[in-house]
Amino acid sequence: MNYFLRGGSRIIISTSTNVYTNLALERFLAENIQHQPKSKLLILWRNSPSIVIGRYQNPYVESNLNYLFENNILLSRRYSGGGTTYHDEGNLNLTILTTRDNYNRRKNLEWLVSTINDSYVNKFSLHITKRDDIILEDSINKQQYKITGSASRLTRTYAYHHFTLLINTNLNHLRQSLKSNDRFSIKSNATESIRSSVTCLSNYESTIQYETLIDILAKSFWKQNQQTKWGSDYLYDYIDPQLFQNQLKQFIDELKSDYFLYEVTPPFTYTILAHNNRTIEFSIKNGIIEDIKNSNKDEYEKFYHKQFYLMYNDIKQL
Amino acid sequence: MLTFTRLHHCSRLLLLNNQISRLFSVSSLVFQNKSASDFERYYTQKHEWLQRTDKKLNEVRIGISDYAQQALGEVVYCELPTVGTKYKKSDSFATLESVKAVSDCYMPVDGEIIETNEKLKEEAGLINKSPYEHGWLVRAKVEEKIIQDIEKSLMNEKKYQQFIKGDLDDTKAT
Repeated sequence: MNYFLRGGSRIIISTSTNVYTNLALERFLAENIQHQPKSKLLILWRNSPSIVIGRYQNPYVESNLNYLFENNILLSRRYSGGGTTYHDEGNLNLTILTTRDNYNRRKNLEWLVSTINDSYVNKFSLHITKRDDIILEDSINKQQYKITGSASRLTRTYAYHHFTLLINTNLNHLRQSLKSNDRFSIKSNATESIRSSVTCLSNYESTIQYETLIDILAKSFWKQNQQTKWGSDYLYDYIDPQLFQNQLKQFIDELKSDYFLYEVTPPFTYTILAHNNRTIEFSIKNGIIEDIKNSNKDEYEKFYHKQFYLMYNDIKQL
Repeated sequence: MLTFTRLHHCSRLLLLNNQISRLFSVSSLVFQNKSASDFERYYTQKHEWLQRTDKKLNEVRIGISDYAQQALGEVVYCELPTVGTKYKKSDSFATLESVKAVSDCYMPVDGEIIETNEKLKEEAGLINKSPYEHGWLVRAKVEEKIIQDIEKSLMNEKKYQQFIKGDLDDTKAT
């Protein structure tokens, strides 16, 4: 692990496809690497089918939890902000980790856009919106599609900006997973995702493959960061997080925990129309049902002060 | 340096809550050239500010500066600490989400949280609209000794303005 904690610019590729492991790895590296000014670390990773919500989002608003469970799609929450993304092996994650002072989100996106535009000239054209989203212009049907989601985490010592890139994702699973049935039942100050039409790069260039894209991105990143001290003996290093379970355990446990997935959700109310036309309103704070309006005595006893995520399916039956 | 004069005659409490002003005889320490509620702000290099709220109680308000709120962009969510928590200087005591970025705020001094700004729950954007007044983050109890020595550890208004000017000059230079 010490090899990976050496400072200097470098590229690290994770061999894990577990979302909790990869998020833990990202945070571990951010907190333990010997950051050097001007150096940039690029981490490349992919996850098996998962939903990743932003730090202050509400999982019930952002995703269809029953669909996730039925299709073995994992639910996770990341430490950075922003909206909800769907991940699978066709979606590449990129993290650029720097010192706090060297944080520059726009520059990272410009690097990605110019790299891909230069490599796939005439196939499609990407540009960056004001909201720091990367969109693909379809010149044939004159539509714009989002192909990345971007988010950042800033602390006193480090900053990371991570973003996804839709190469060849299962868009059907993506749409179904992100379609919550509870969006209108919930009132909250949690950060809400802004929904956009998405597409994959492979829809415009069928030969795009993960392996070739990694190579193109790595070489371009190295070229851009040549002047900084390169921290590795190689263009990129593979890391197998399985070998570092001990160091990552603390973060993996937190990321998997019901506490982090559900209880840190900002306070919200959940309203349902019960079968006899009563409107019952549940108030949830720190994952616990703290108040119920308009319920009968039995319902009150059943639900009051219980964990909302455990009672969720029962509540929906009302 | 702060200077103060001792008043031996009737003193007047400022109308903070639209109360009828009361006249009574006290001995009080008053900052020269300043009204009772108008204490100076002090700043950290990470752009948090601290301002005394009451001379007698060793309490300060803490928030982020105008420079910081501009750099962050629109704050959409604010996570504040629990009342009663004790922090050391430079501990993270609050987290803000703005334009997809989650950032920490750090304590300017050691202190115990005695109040958090409830308005921010519904309107986190107050931090942008009014970083020094309505957008304060927490109120904390701080040891007298720390307050006395405040100029040694934090920047006053003048020094802070120079500090951010230096920052801006740096960015222009690169």
